[in-house]
Amino acid sequence: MTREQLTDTVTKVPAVTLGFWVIKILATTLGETGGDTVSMSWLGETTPDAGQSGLNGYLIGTAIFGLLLVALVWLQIRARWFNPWLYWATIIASTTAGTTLADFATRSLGIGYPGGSLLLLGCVLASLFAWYRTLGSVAVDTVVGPREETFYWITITLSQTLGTALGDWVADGSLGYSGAALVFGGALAVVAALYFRTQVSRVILFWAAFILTRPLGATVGDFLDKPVAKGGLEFSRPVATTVLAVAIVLLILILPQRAGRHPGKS
Amino acid sequence: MSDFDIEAIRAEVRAMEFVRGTPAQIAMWHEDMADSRANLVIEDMIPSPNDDAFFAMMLDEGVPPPLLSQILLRLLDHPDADRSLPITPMATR
Repeated sequence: MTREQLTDTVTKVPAVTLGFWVIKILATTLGETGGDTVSMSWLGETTPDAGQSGLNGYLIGTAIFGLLLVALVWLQIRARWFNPWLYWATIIASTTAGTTLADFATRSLGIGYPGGSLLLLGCVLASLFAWYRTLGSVAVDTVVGPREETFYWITITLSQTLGTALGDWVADGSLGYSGAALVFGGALAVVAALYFRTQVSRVILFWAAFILTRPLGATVGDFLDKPVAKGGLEFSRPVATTVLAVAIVLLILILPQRAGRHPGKS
Repeated sequence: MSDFDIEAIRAEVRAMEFVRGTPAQIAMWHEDMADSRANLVIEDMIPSPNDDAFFAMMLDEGVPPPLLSQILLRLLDHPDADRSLPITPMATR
């Protein structure tokens, strides 16, 4: 390998294993229930009292989780070693901020799920374009420098936001939450089959799976906490969030957590 | 790029103080590296026999993956490398 390729083999992100994907799906589900807990249960969005105080719950939730995300990304960039707690906390912050930001875009801005999804898709593409123009590559195996890490986290957060809007869009149709979860779960199974049975680029498969886990988590999260009349199980949002958080902590403790490279090409 | 001087690097690594991996951990790291290598090959990044020997030596010495990354950066004299590591960059050997 060349010197550049060897450098690319070092990273501050975790090895992509089955455990990585299990925690990723739980983290995105937690992001949905956690975001809904703050914006809906605590700040009153989707209730008759919504907006009466003059404050937008989705926007406040986005500000809270956005600040948390910025702080965690800053710590992640400063970290010398891969730290699983910091990495997964940052992922959860990005997915929670993505939930409230997507809800703000699709509901408060009044552009609906299709409009919101298209707007967010534009944001993801713009982020990738800026990343490419700045660094000459969007490969994610080179997550070792501050600039790469900044683009990495911006793109991840925007893709999590897009995934929320997509998940809501599909679930809002005739499929419902459980049907949408099956659709995205099936799509992930296709990606897994391509990984094990073909030589399709690991870069494409990684990002396809990474993005698809977000709407899967969003629909599963909605399935857990939405009213029975809307096809959900009507679990308490804070309780569902707490259970998911405990499950993630246990998995991080139980499963091997080690640095590894994300698939990429330099 | 010149090859790694495996035995010279091994000597520097052995002189370092760090928590070595257990045999079980080292076996697990070898499995991870095999998976990683397979993905590299698919992406047309073929490790040379010297590259493979370097990584195998590092794992045999019980170097944890995060430290292995830092040692590699130091060997390559990368800007993000930890310059306090007692490892001689390849360019100055």
